[in-house]
Amino acid sequence: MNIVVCVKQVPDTATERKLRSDDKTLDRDAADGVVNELDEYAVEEALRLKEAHGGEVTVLSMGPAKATETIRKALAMGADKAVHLSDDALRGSDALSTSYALAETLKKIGFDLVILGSESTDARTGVLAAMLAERLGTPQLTLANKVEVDGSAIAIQRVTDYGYDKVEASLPAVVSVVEKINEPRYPSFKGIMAAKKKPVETLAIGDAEISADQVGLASAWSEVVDFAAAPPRAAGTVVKDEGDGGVKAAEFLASKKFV
Amino acid sequence: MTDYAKAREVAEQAREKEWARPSFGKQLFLGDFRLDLVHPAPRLSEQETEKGEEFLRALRSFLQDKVDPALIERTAVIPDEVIKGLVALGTFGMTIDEEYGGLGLSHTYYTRALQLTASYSPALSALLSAHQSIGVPQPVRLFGTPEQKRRFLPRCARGEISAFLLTEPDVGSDPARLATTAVREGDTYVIDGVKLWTTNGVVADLLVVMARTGSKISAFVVEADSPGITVERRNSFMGLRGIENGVTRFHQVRVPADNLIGREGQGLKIALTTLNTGRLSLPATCAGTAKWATKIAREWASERVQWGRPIGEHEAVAHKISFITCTAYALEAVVELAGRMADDERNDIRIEAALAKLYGSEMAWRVADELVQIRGGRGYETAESLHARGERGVPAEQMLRDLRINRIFEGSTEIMHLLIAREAVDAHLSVAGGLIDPKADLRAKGRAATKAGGFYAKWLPSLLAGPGQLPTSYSEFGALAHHLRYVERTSRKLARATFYGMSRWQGKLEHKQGFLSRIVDIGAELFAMTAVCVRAQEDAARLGRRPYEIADTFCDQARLRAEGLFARLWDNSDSRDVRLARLVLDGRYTFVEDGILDPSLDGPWIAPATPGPTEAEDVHRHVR
Ligand SMILES: Cc1cc2nc3c(=O)[nH]c(=O)nc-3n(C[C@H](O)[C@H](O)[C@H](O)COP(=O)(O)OP(=O)(O)OC[C@H]3O[C@@H](n4cnc5c(N)ncnc54)[C@H](O)[C@@H]3O)c2cc1C
Repeated sequence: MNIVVCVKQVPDTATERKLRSDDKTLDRDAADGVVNELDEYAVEEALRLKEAHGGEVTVLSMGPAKATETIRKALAMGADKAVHLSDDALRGSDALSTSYALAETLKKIGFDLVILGSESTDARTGVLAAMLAERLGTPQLTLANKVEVDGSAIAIQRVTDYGYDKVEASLPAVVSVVEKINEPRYPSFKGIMAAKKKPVETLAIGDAEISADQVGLASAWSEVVDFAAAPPRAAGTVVKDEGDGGVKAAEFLASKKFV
Repeated sequence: MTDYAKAREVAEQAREKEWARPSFGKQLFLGDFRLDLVHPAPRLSEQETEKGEEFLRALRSFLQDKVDPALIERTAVIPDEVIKGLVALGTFGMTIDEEYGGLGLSHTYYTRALQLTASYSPALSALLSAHQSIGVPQPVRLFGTPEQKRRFLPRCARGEISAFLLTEPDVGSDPARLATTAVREGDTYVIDGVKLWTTNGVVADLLVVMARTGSKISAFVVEADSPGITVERRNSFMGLRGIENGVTRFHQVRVPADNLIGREGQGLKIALTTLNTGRLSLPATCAGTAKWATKIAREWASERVQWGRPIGEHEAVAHKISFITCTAYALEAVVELAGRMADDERNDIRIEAALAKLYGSEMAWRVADELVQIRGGRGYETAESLHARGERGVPAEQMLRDLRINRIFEGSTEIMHLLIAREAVDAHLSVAGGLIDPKADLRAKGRAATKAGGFYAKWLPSLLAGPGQLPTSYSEFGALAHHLRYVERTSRKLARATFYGMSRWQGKLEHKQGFLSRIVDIGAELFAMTAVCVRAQEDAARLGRRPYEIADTFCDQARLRAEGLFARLWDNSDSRDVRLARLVLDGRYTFVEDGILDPSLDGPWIAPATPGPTEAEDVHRHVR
């Protein structure tokens, strides 16, 4: 089975993340880049499927040159090879154009199964899996907390508010996974050393036949109009319980039209 | 034979007697300062350096991301997840060859990894070093058959945890009293006995067990799951709260004869040889803590203002900061030098490693104590309490507690003094042994005198003059050259003092522990000075004058300590102390104890270790 995992480099959630004042895109130089945590579950799931069914795991990442660190981390976990889609023209792409670029690349490199994390911790749109499936014309099986493959059939448990749905389809397909699905392995030192020697193919948009006028900041369908720092948290209202705490709490909720 | 004589004989038999390779330490004690053996310090290949650096990066990010040292301290348990992560990273096979599934790291990077780990969580470094420096990997690597290596090393590298079981309730520094037995029955041995203070023993998969086969001691690899093994308790200590250290009972435990390491009777020699390089792991952890103490001392002493200035600007505190910083640099220099020499394999480093263990554990303890002092009341407060009331949770008191054991285990300071002193006087014993042997007859003494005469006729004059007297010697060390000249002169002075002590006390010298310990401690200072100068000269290429400044001050400090020791070689209260102590033991001065209340709980001083079936519940568990 030919599995492709989409992996994104995001600013470390532990550091302060900023937008650039000039074009209102993410300031990727301001913070350390790390693997989008949710993608680690996708890599782990891909590796487990490969271990169970054989095949090959390819990491696909779109991002600036420094995203290679992230790619190496996924390779260190055990993926076999990587494709790095990197081009200045891609900077500022929104979800729609990103899905276009990734879909074109996927068509070029081929796949039986594409696995993604449920969202990225920076943009948090959570729509990429659905968009990719649409563009590739394959079934989409999103928010999986369990994936089973049997021959060319795939079944997942899709997490919902009320429990889970069982969703079945046939390969090729696009799957996104939630963090409950597994416990990502920590790369072994041997894995880290081996990752240095694994092939990483770097593609520019021309190599993947991506047209420049459909990607990048200028062609984005969505636009960041303005942004502001989150206001510091104001001190909360303290209700002192002098025997009438319950009444006061109810009055407070009523005043805010909660009850 | 008296018990003392037995103990001494057992120790003597376990000693490695051959010196196939040159030894800087041995020559130093003979007054022959062989700077050429340690300078320039051997370097690792570029490939090994790159691999080592990559590994340290991976280890550092693992520790940072996945390990909460405060949690280990609070719960007194290393979470299984942490152990599994360390296993996945390969840290259980750092020293195991790649051929057997390990990482095949150099000694240099193994010790650096322990240094890094210990600075963050000493309980974790204790886990790793007990597994690798004394547990199954090291003795099997050195003494195992190819078949044993294939059987055990890959398992250790994959993260099966190992422990080393020598100590018993009645056996600490003196293995001659070892009570655990291994009796051969066909192609198995049957082991009976009780082992105490088994670091990692509570969670171990594989054990190295020292047991008596007839009159001698042998070493076995034992599956921790074997029927008849019970981990009766998990002990708790002053520090290293996270370690899984227990009491393990063996009742008719059958072990395949194939699991004997080396030959019957080789057990202690195996243990000692294992420690030749294994001993570097403790000083590495000491260096790690000292380096951390330097960071905290600097940050705190510039932040805290009392009496109108940062406390670091009050002289009393300044002394401590200087001591901490210089000592941290020196401890690292000592471990690095010994580690690199171990990798290079051209020298015998058993004396250097032993000196590093002795010196590292003693000096790091003083460093941690001074750090607590600089931190004032906060030094005595736990990190958790500091943090809970809104301050930085600096675990100074924890580091002090965690470090304390280093002066006791893997050879207590007192035993290290004897061990090193034995090597220091070895050259003399081998040429003049018959002369001072109280039991040798006159003819033997006569023969010995002739043999010794030849040696001393050459050796004694060589102690009178050397490069240390020439103002131009070691000039490539610039401002540090005079310290090396001091080391050279002083090593000759040390050898003269040793020789004088030998002729004065002859066979009784071995009981002159005050004298011997000072000889050894002077040797340790001289070795540390050498290591620091060599290191500073190398570091200067990268760091400019700064390493020289530290090295210069460290050497000043070390010289003062050495001079103090020299003075006390001859002017001390040793014999009065011995006399008084004997009377104390006789109960002559119990009035000193008037007016107190002893809070100790009831019980015998030493628990009986009667062999037989267990009456306790097994607390052994696996981390899987
Ligand atoms: C936390 C911890 C972990 C340990 N881990 C292990 C382990 O993994 N495996 C293992 O086998 N053991 C282990 N030990 C045991 C440790 O190695 C011993 O405690 C140590 O060898 C000292 O032995 P002892 O405690 O019986 O002291 P003793 O031998 O009773 O010594 C008591 C005191 O007398 C001094 N002394 C003894 N003999 C002499 C002498 N001839 N001359 C001068 N002074 C002397 C000692 O230096 C010491 O100060 C551990 C101990 C602890 C506390």
